[in-house]
Amino acid sequence: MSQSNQPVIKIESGSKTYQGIYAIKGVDFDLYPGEVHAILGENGAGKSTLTKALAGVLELTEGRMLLEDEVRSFKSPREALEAGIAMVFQETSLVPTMTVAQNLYLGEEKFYNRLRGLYISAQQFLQGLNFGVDPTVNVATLGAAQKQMVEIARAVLHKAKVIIFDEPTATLTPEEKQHFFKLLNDLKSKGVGVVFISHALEEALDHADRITILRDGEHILTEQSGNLDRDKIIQAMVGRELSDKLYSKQAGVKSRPRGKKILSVENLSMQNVVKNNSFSIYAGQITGIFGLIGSGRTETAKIISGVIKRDFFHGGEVYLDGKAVRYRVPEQAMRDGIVYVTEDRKIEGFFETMSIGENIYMGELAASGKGDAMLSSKRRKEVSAEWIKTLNIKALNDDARVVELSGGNQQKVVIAKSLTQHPKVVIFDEPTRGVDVGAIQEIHELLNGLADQGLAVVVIASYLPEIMNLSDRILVTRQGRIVEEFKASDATEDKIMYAAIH
Amino acid sequence: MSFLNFGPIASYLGRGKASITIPTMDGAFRSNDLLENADLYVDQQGADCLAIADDHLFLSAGNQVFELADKAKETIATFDSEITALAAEGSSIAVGLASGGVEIKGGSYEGHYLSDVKCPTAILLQKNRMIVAEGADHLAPGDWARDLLERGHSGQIISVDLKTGKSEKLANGAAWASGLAETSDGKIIVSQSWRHCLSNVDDLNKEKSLCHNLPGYPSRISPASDGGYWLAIFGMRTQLIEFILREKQFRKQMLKTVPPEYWVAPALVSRENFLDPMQQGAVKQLGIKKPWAPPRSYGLVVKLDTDFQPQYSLHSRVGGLRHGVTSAVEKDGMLYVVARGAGQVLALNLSAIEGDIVQ
Repeated sequence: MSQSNQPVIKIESGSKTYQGIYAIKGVDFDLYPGEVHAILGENGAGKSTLTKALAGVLELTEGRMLLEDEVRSFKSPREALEAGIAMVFQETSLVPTMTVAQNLYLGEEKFYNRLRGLYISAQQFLQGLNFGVDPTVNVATLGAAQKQMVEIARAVLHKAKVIIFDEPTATLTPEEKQHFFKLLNDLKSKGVGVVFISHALEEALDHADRITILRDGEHILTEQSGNLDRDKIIQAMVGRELSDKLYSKQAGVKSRPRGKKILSVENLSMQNVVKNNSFSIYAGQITGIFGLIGSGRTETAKIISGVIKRDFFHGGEVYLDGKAVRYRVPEQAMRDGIVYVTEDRKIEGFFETMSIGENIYMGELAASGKGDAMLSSKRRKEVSAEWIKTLNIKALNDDARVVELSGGNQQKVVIAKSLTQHPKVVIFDEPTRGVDVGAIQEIHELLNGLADQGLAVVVIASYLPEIMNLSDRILVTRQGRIVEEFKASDATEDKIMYAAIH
Repeated sequence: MSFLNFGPIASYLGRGKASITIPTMDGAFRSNDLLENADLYVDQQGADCLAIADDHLFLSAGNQVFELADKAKETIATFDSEITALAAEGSSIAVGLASGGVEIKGGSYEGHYLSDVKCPTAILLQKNRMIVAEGADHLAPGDWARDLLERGHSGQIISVDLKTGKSEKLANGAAWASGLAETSDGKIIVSQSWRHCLSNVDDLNKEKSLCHNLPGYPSRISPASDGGYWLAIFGMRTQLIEFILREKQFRKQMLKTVPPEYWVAPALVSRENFLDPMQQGAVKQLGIKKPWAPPRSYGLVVKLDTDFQPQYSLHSRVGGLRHGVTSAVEKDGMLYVVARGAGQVLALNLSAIEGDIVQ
């Protein structure tokens, strides 16, 4: 490790709260020049919050940040970038319709620009970094690894002292991963401090100088990677009973047997996103769908539930109980018994300024399709009281506005709203995204309960342990279609990830 | 349903019946290599149909009926014509013949001959009754590919009272009836290959079926020891064939001008001939477009539950050889399967495979 004694960036007792709930609490973190520092933790541990605070995406509510011994607070990522801190997100921030060179110099353009000049300087710069990327091609045509190279090049071009990577290897093939870590070493030798988040513990052990572990938003340890091993890391990451329950199948618990085939999707297509996708969903089971972002999982679910439309010509067929269905609006799907619980609840899931009761009642009204001019406040209270009790929604009363609730309770409201519609098929898209740890377990129990009652439950999730724990069968999507099916007992993280990226 | 799903508009848009979609092979149809890796029981070219009676296992192949035991075969009867269906009950066997008709050998109805069946494809032999499935009313059983390409639905189910010799038509209009089973409550179930379904004999031409939209062409059905059934699937539906079935003029020309062995139709075995029709397609892997062309044949046996819902399946996949499964029967914890394409009878130990694939 070629590091100086002075940390390039330091956070002291950093905390960030969302509506009174701590995402990170009193976290200490430092990074030295020329150091590779891995941040590990379970989903919801606060890794992304910490790195986003470093990169100016969000501001800390408590504590302070020092950049080269000077207290700083960034209002925007641009401010952080100007101060030499760049972040490479999981979903790249490049403009796909522009060329590599244009992306590199985006925001740095001169008054008069010549493309030829831009390409030549980009070419020289990329060659200087030993990156084999053609500066004249559109970013949309690049693979995940090459896009990441461009992101890194852009960070270096901005003379970043600190580069932060959020799950850099999640979308890379093994060969691309090797290349990525070689780049990381190059950056390190140039004195750049690197922070990376990863779920792959071996990567952190092999390539990081130090490892910081967070759990439930709190700092657990920071240690030289040489002093740690896989077991110690896991113990630090999940060292609580709840985690064991959350993400590991109980011994002896068998997968539920397949019920009747209830939904059958055949050769479904939507532009370049969903390509000839075919699969079946069975009653009385949880079917987990895993895939990388952009693999068409959400779009497929939205087509099935009438939120978006498939291709007008040769768009494929969806059969519900053996009958071909094609919905123009979600209302039709809902009446047939297909419900989609969105991944983006704030935009698509609820009316945030309305009360819990109103939101839940609205679900029932939508399903009944009566369009009554007169609404029944008595019925509203009955429905909301029933669901608040069933789902253990924590609020003072049913008049509380949804915006005031925690993420977990908001998600429960969305689920309650959907379940009032008495569905046959429920599709949950990222059901525990942005949900506090306690509520995750409750939501998992609810999903299992629905499957036990005989409903066909579909869970789309990006977090592998969640998919593996919940699902009775697992489908993997890649490039717009289901490419693999696993029995729960056969599935391993490696197998699923391999299917998702190869 | 919108008007866009019917008629020439649907054909233009590729919707409704004009959408060339095939069911996916997941869930109960999740692929494996159990059939491909099964033990060889008997090698017999032309092997077609299996039947069990009084603890004896019979096989029809060509114009002979064999009794199989301990991986050996013994000829027990020879007929003038190729055998196209076989059933056994007590000491009797009933055989359907390619030249037409059904003949009974052994038992109290020895010598009985049912002449008014031209295309026997499956027989259900009971103590005093025999039910025969006829694939089509104008073709020989070997002409099944022609019937598919002509979109035939002239099959019928005939019941014969063996005591009186009186026959009765139970149903007609079947799209290549090729399998028969009796449920515990006495209902007769028929597999219709070209409609890809199993239906009650009273509902052959109705939309409702017990098991519909199968990914292949169902054939013979036999009872399983747990009250369920074994279903042989002799060919798979592919988008190429489904497309061809929509193109009437093309089919007409093909039937008229192309030799049958090169028709774009399912087959019981894939030959390594460059003249064979292929379904072309492509998959993109690691950014590289790779062409593929699945062969025309496949090996598949499906285990059905008591309600005729698929539970799991045994496969010999496109790269395999044990294709064109025409019959599967269970006896003493073993499953015997005829892979007609390979000319083999396979044996699988059920306790070993169920632990492996049942969820």
